[in-house]
Amino acid sequence: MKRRLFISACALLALAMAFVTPARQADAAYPDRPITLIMPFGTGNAPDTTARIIAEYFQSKHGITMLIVSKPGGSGIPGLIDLLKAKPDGYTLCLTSANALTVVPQVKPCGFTYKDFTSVAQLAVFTMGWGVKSDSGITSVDDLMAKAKAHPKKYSLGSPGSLTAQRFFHAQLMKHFPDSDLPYVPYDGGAELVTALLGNHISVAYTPIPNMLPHGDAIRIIAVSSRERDPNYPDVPTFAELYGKDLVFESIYGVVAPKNIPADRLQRLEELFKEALADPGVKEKMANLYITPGYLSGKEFGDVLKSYNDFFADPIKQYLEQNK
Amino acid sequence: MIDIFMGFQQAASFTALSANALGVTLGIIFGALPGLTATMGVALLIPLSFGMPPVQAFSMLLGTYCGAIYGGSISAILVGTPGTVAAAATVLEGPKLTAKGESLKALEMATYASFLGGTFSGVVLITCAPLLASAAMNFGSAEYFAVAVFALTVVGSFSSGNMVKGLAAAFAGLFISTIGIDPVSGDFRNTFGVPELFSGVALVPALVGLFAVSQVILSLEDVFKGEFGIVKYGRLSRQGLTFRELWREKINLLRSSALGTFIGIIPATGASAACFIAYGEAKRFSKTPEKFGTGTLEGIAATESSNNAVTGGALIPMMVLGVPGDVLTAILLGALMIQGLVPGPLLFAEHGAIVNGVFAAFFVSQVLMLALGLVAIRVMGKIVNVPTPILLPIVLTLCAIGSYATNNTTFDLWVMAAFGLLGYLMLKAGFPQPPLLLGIILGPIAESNFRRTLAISRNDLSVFVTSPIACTILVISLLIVLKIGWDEIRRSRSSRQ
Repeated sequence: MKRRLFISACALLALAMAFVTPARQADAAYPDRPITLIMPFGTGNAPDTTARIIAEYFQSKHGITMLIVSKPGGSGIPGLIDLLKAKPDGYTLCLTSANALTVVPQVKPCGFTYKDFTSVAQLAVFTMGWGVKSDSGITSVDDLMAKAKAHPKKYSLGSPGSLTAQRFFHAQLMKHFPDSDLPYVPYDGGAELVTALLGNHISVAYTPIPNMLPHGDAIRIIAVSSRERDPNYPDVPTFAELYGKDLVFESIYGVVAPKNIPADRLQRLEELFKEALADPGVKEKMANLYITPGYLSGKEFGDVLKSYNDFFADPIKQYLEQNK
Repeated sequence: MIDIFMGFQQAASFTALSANALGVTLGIIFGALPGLTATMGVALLIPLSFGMPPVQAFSMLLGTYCGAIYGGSISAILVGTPGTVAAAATVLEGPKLTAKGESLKALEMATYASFLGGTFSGVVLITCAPLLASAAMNFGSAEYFAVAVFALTVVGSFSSGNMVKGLAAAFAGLFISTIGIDPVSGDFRNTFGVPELFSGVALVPALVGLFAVSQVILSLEDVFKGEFGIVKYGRLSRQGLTFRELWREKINLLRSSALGTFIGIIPATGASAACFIAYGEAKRFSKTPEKFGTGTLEGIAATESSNNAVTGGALIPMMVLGVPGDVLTAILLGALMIQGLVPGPLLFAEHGAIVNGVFAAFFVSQVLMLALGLVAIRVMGKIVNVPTPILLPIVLTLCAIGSYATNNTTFDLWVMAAFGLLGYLMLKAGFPQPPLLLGIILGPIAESNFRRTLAISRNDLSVFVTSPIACTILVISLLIVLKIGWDEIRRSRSSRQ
């Protein structure tokens, strides 16, 4: 009796272990064992679901297992620090954002910059937009700024995260409207923010538009901060059109690997991600979540990161000096 | 009403039913194993759900969700280790009942209470979802802050007779919750430059360390005293719950289910807060509050019905408004959207049949949870037969796996060990542990919402008075604090005489 219990307890332990320990096998053709993808943004949000859609494609099409290891929090720093320590063998990758790779390390020295990683592929670009309640009477950014000037203490802008690029974007934009009272209020996540907008607790939500699209007519987008207009909202102007071409900020997600990953493995990974993002089934699932695949090769993604990094260098320097 | 019966036709089809049973089984296992959370279970099944029709996919996902929230109680009762954060309050009563040899009673109470709580919230879900969802939109940061303060008054009921120590523990918890990134300014606080602390102290390792590892250390004392080999965790019990015992808790079950549903509906609070609030209220309304903490079925009825009622409550804003209240409903929302269904009022109009199928699947999950749960507790109940020297290492291993698996970082093992030691010292020095945990859970909710409110109001504190909801909740909290203070003064006077 006791013996049987002991054995079943051991079996239970083994089962539990199976969830956390990936199997290891000898090396042959790459990839011949599971690839670990570190996911620093928590379970269930758009980047995580994107990763799961791609993982499912890899599994069913190529029999390649991609384990998604969630390592949330800390503005994405702990996840990237893990990648920094990983072997550059192509079996450990990280799906992360341009924000975590370039903005966060500039604000807070955290042991790495974007140059410490090899960029593998850009996966998706989320258009970031300013949304207001349709019944709020706000018609445009100019209108909002005029109202915020006439009625101080009435209007606020909410956005997910306290240590993010959109905070610096907001600071840059407000230089055009020195007399308008529209402070930045950080929320924990995009969904929570949209709830607050719908409940009239905040006047403007600055978040990827996939968060706002499901609410249809209840939310009006007054401007987007992407380089080009968003195909979902052809009539909505960009900030760059309105107030100067440097006012561009997009939420960019991509995959990075440790530095010095072998060139042939990097190439294989690039091919795999490119193929997955071109697959109609993957595209359809992503489209249902309002995500548009935006594949770029490792080198192109690296260039994007560099320009992103340089764009935010000045505003961050100013912010750090002001807050000394 | 006819529509929901149509829904049952879909949810009770063979494929949907087996998907649901698979979900519930997996959920119970994930829930019972500390550190493997409901969120992980559901996230793992998401890719599997891609290929399924909507009702079948949701049968599986909802089954996992409900099963996991329930499953947490099993390990909480049997080995004093909460399998999920939602079962944290169940640890206060469960192990004591097991020690008394009433583990089967406790497990059955947890199972029935979970079933009743879940079913209650399901009835609310199908009858008044649209109404409640729009009411929930009135909750902004000021109101969330008020709810968090209200939940913090529960510290009082954990500290009666020992207010100074209870408050000290609560403040220590609140301090621990400040570690990490400042939610408003983005600065790093109390991290001492340790990158692993940038995201704060992880909840699961802290919880597991505080409640389970501390108990293991305490049991080690016996080993060193030479009392080796004695079954300390309890005796195998064959005596089940009687109907009379269940019926006695009818008001308690109803109140706790209603509280759980309510807390589920308002986004951003969750099952962990719900079970503590329900526990606190059950104690406040109890005829025998002094029995709480010594192993009472009343406490288990409260915590388990409330945390399972959160599930149906949380589905209300998700389905009606497309607003997820927590991480788990956010995942479910994603799953719904991958199916090409966009939550919101239009969902009910355009895909009524699917919505009814999903609602029916929720009820099917409750029934399966009851049936599979009653089987599971009879199998798992035998754990108490395992001699302590074998059980303790297993418990410790599970704790370590669970702590590691949440964030996949070895640092969390140190967190678990540190909280284990802290919990042990607290037990030895007579400090109550629940206030510390409440501080850790509620600190971030209270702080970020308080500061967000002030950022929106430009540091004008009057918003907490001008919002009727926030004001009412804050006044009730104040009255409770005054009552606790008054009781405490009376008690110290009478003990002096």
